[in-house]
Amino acid sequence: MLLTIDGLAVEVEAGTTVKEAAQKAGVEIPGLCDHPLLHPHGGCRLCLVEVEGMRGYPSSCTLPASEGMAVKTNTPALVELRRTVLEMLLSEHPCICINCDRQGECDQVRASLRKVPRTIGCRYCPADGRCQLQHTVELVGLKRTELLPVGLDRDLIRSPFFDRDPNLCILCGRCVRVCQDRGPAAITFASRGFEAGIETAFGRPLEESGCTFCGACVDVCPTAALTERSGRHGGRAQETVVTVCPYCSANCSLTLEVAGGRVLRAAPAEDDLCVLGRFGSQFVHHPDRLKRPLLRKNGRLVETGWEEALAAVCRNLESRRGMEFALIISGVCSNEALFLARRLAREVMGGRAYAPDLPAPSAIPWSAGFQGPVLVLGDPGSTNPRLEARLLEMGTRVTAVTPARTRLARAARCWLSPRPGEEATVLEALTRALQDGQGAGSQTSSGQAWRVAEACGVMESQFRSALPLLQGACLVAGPDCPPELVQAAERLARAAGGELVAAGQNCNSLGAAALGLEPWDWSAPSPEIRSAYLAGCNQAAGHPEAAEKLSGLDFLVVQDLFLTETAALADVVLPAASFAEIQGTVLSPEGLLPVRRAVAPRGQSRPDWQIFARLGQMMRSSGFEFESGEQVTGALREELDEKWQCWAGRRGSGAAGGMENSAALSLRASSQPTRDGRSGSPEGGGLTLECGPSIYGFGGGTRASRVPDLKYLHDHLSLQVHPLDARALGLCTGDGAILQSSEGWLEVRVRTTRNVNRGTVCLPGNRRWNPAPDAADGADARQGDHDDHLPGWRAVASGCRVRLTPLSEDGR
Amino acid sequence: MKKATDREGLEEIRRLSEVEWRGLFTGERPLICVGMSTCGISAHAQETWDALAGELDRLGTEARMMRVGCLGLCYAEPLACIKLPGRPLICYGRATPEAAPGLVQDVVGRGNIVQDSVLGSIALQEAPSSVDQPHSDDAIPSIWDHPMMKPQIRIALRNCGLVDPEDIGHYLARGGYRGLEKALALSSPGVIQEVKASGLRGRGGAGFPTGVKWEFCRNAPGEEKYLICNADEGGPGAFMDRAILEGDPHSVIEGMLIAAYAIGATRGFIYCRAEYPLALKRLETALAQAREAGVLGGDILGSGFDLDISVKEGAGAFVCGEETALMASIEGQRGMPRTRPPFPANSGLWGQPTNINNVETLANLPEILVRGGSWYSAFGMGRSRGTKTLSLAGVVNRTGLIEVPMGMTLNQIIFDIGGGIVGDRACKGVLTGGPSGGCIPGTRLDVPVDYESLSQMGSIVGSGSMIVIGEDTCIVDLARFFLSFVQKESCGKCTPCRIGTRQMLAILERIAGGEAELEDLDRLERLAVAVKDASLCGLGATAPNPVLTTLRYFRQEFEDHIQDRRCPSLHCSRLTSYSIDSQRCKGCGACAESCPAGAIIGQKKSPHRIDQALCLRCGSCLSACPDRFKAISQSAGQDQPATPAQEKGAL
Repeated sequence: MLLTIDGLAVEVEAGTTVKEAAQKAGVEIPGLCDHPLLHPHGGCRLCLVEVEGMRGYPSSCTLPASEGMAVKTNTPALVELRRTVLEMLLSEHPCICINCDRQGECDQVRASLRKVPRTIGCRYCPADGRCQLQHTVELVGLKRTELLPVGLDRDLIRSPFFDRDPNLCILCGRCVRVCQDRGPAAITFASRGFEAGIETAFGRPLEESGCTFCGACVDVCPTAALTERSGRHGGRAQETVVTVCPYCSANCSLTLEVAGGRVLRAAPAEDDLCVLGRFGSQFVHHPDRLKRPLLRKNGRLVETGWEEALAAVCRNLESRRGMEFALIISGVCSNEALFLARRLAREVMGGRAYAPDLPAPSAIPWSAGFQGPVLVLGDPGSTNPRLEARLLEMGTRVTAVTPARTRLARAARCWLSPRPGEEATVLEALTRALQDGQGAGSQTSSGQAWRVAEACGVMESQFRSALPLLQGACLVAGPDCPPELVQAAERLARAAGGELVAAGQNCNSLGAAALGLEPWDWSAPSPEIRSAYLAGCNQAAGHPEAAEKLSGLDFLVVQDLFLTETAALADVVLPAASFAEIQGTVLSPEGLLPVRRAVAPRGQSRPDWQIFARLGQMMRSSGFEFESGEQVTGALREELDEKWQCWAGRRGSGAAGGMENSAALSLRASSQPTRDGRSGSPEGGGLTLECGPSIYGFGGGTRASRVPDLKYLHDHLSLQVHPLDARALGLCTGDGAILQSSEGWLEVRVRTTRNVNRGTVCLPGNRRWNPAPDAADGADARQGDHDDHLPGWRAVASGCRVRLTPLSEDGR
Repeated sequence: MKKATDREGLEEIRRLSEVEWRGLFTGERPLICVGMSTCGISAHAQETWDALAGELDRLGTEARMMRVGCLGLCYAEPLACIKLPGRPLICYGRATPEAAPGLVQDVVGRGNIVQDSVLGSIALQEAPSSVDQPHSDDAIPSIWDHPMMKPQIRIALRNCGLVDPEDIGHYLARGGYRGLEKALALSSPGVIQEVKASGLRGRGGAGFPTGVKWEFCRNAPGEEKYLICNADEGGPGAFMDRAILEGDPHSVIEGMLIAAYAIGATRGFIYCRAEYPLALKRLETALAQAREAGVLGGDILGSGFDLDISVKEGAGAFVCGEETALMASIEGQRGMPRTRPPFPANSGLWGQPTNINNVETLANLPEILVRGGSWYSAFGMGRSRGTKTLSLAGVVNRTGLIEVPMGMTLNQIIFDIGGGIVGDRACKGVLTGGPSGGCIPGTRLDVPVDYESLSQMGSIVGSGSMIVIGEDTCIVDLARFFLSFVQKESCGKCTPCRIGTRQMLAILERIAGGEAELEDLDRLERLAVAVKDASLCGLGATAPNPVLTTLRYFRQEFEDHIQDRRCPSLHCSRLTSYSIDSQRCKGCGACAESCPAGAIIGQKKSPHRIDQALCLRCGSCLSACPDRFKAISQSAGQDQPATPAQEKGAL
């Protein structure tokens, strides 16, 4: 349709707003509440226009363009209105510089005020220079205001990662809208009149209001009402580097803002980010980063130089060639590191290279273009929030199988909610119902399929409604799914003629799978090893059996960013460079993505691939002569491409490939939760502990626990207790309690939920327990050296028995 | 009651109801009706009811007692109507709990007529409405000849105060649901045509032609259409909708049925503020009765037309009277308006075509259908046809709820109906349309009350609240009062309404506090125009009206406040001063004792003096001065220096 803006003809599509049309015509209309990513609001009243034949002054951001419209954006009446409205906004804004008659002087006079948490003028505002209110003042050409300041003096609201300064808020509602669009809807407008503001429900802290801390509100805020604390006083970015998020396998692209050799903050590049991507990069500059290699001398780890450390590694490894050596490296590392590590393990050492975080071998990478129905297992939100967001967008195509009332379960077309631990049985029942072609009535070894599902807590109607949604379905299993569930999913995928997508744990788990690393699982009977090299994986945390095995090794090398629980057991610890300090690639479901270097490696730390290359050379092997990361990338590209072709061939073929394990397990319909059998020491009595994943303690928490606010959120996750158990103990949601195991104790908040079975409590994340006063000291020795970050804590594994005692009024 | 499945079924129910209704007036038992709307109850009608019942009990007289709605004669509340066998129903005013036993003894016991408190007789059984101008042949004049009633044409209020609102039988007996039958006999466009012919315009304030609005909604494509009754009456001084909902809820339900049939809606909502508990209760009762009678629900009267109505309670936000905010509130969102287009007729509640009508608009519809659009449009003037209910409040002698043909002048309303100003003083002005309206000066009471004339005066008809102000009302304070109301009720979404009104309020506060300059008036006007033009919804766009009209008609009073630092109405305490007449002061010391600031100086038995620098202008000395002396007076203007003679006298 054709319309004119200030006499300029412009052609736009139906559904365009007048403001967008004006932009197309090259006319900039001021406006503060409008944002290209959000639906229009029409609240700031700065974008008012005049339209021939229309009464009054409609707001152009909400007005749909129509054929033949004649719009004027700059009549004297509009200019006057706009200036008055802008003056009103400024009269509420604290100490605006625009009507200050001493503009410019303050740079000398009050330069020290920059560190004051309250904004008292534009020059000292964190948004100075990028503030859209400033820009609008320039655009409207307002030189002075005559309205008296009327702002209320409101308190700054602190929350993890960012602060809300209500004094700087212009109530444009962008944060409210973006939060609604993203799903949590944690904030809204509250109160009326001049006291109107943005708040959470009942003014509770953001942590208790469903906020996922994705930071989208901070990104859309036009002023400094929402600012993140990280880098708040670090000045403006001198350089920006687009790279890949180092956490989960969603591989979102990040823009790192760099100034003075430091990463100030991470901003979204094209994708939306989750809390990890947006705020999780702070670990790069954590003071606990390993800066020099450590060597165990007289039983203690001491700092040393690279040459001595590497020489010690060479000397020890050379004498331990063979199958008793294992190199375990996780998908935290880039392809280059994985490639050279594999070469070192196989070709130099004659051993094997393993990865602990591989997706299921029969799985294919996730594809955003997937069109058919989707079945989701577990809670992707706890391991891969962006995958969850993409699945949420698919809404009506999604069937969720999870006991927990997750966001995805609520949004899904169909939600099967078996009791915890019965998911695999339900999948088997579905498989059988599909295989027999007799639907829900299919006979299984233990009765009709729907009866099996019903015994697991899934209603018959739900079960029946899910069946037609599965034909050709894509099954999504995150890293939170136990292996038996993934296997069941694999069989269901085959029966449904669909495919299995198993998202890996880490950003490059897919790369590790493509490079043919072998799966490593501590709980599985592992090959007999005497020496090991661990890179980028803190296996001792959360796996008591791993800690035991690792401390019994003849020789252990650990290469990581921090002195982790695993590193503390090592004979040699090598400091690795973080994602922001290396140049390399990771393999994403969309292909190879570049990881770009933003800052220099911390201290003497080196990129993982360089360490492997150097070791290879020192052990006098060929194939390690690389000058740069690019050369390594060149060497491995072909192999990855081949694997990629293989996956692409399997995609959409209608059958999950991989191992042909056709022997379907006999269905087991038990009214008892399957995981109940896994109990720890019986003397604890009472309840069985489960440790679910939490996004705030990503992976083992090596990096996430070094981001203070992530650690805070992780340590304040509530213990999930079945309502009946809670009632028996006299506990309600929000109550404090002491959780005690034979190993240690922990103070927790309780949340009652039917997401857990009776007799089971679930503590998300990977918490550090206080040692039990009567626990044997012998355990301490096993922990080896600790840094200050890790006082004498205990890791308590999933499945052990715990006792829950309510915290009395006086605290204990 | 048997549920009516067709028109004959309803006719059968109506016939039975009529028999019962006649029985009320022909029976051997006395009939006593008490006006029990919220206005009556707050005037202690419940206690009156109890006293009447107690006295009847004591006398051992069996009488039939009936709760009715508000007749509109609020100044004379509580109202009790008593009918003795063979006599007409006589309405008594000021039937306070104290007067009630005497009333029973006199009227019921002795068969007298208490002439002092008689308002008039009501010939209920014969007269369905005031329109028919019934007269009583009894010695008692008809209530319709009462000066407050005579100029009225009661269409929307036709049943208010005359029937038991909790009995659908009364409504049916008085011709209720005949409008629905008429509508169902017509096609939807036929109904719309009839309403267009009536010239009915939205009575909620905007005055948009109802038939045209319906047509938009009817023609809009959509799977499902909704009809909403806006009963979120929240302006200070407005109580028309409440009176209708409490006095005659079925007229609103019937109106909704007609409207829903016309636009093709299958679901209706009544959005009523939670502050009207009695209205909500009576609505729910009426809805249940309507469902039971078969006039609400599925396949109404065998016509194939379905409608169910649910009541949604508001949570006390004035802005939720704005239609888009109201819809957001029904959806469970925060009540915040949105911009238009899209208009509710195309995309309203849950994105479906939605029509919103006000209570009074809907209450008019049954009569329009029964008597025809041309009958209705015979009332009124110009483009404003029909009648309008008005709540007459302020300093008039007879306050209450009235319904007059549009075009009646303010003079007629205030002096003929309202009986003039209390104490026969002059009328300073009338505030029409509540906080969104404007103030019309006492010199312009010749203005007819219709949409166009009031709009020319800078005011609006609005929902119909009419607050008459006398000479002792300060105009600055009046503007401040209404502005602060809207300011507090602004939803905060748009800048001009949220901050602009706040800035205007700050200026008015400065004027009242004697701190303003003359330029502030221009600033005030500039802000008012910007708020009016730039606001998102009707709340903001009309918020400056009280300020703009008072500036237009009472600018001198603003200037008095600013330039002379005096408040002529002696209201703005900072702009007045107190003085002691030394001739009259006998030096009793009562004032000095009461003064919290110690500003009164003087020896016992000799005239006292006020130190103006210390005086807080709290007025406690004025009330402390014994009546026999009356030595202290308040006067307009700041800091009147004491005359030398007074100084001398004080010493």
